[in-house]
Amino acid sequence: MAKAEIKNQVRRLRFENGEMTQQELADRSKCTRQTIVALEQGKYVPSLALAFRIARVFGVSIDEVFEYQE
Amino acid sequence: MTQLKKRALWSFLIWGAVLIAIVIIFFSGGGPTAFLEGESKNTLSRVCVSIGFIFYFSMLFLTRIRTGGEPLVKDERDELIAKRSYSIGFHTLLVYVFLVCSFLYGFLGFISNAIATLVLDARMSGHGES
Repeated sequence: MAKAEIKNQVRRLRFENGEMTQQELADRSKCTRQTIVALEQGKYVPSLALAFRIARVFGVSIDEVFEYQE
Repeated sequence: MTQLKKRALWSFLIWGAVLIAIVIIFFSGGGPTAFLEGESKNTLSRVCVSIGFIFYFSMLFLTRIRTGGEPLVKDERDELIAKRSYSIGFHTLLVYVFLVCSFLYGFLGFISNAIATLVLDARMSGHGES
């Protein structure tokens, strides 16, 4: 699978939010822990809906979590 | 482990075992000729495939998503992987069928190519008219 062009700050945000576990983030954003792992490693680009759910869990806007890199 | 990965692993194990069993039956004691003539070998192969299906459907039942209280085992990433793997599997099968047919009936391609060449040559040839 090709490397994602969309970078994310999920890992950093997790630790800034009380060292939230991957499982907790997965549960709160309604996805599996494996998806969070893949996201953090840049191996998966989430759907818009999931991106919004993750941003909402951290209480930030979507562009603070995900950024497009050309 | 996600449902998709669990099913893929079990499916690989079940059908891999069936494949190995059939290959052993096919090539043991005489090879292809003996396989075609020996009724017991045919029956044994059918039994292997039937057992494979029994295990496969049992596995599908046992790995189903149960309602209530269970942690999420399938999401959009799994659906994407499933879509891509179905596509790759289907195209691999098509390539296999195409290659087998090419080996078996490739000569028909030569015949049709020869006929097409002759027809096109006749159509694109002048008859001395301007």
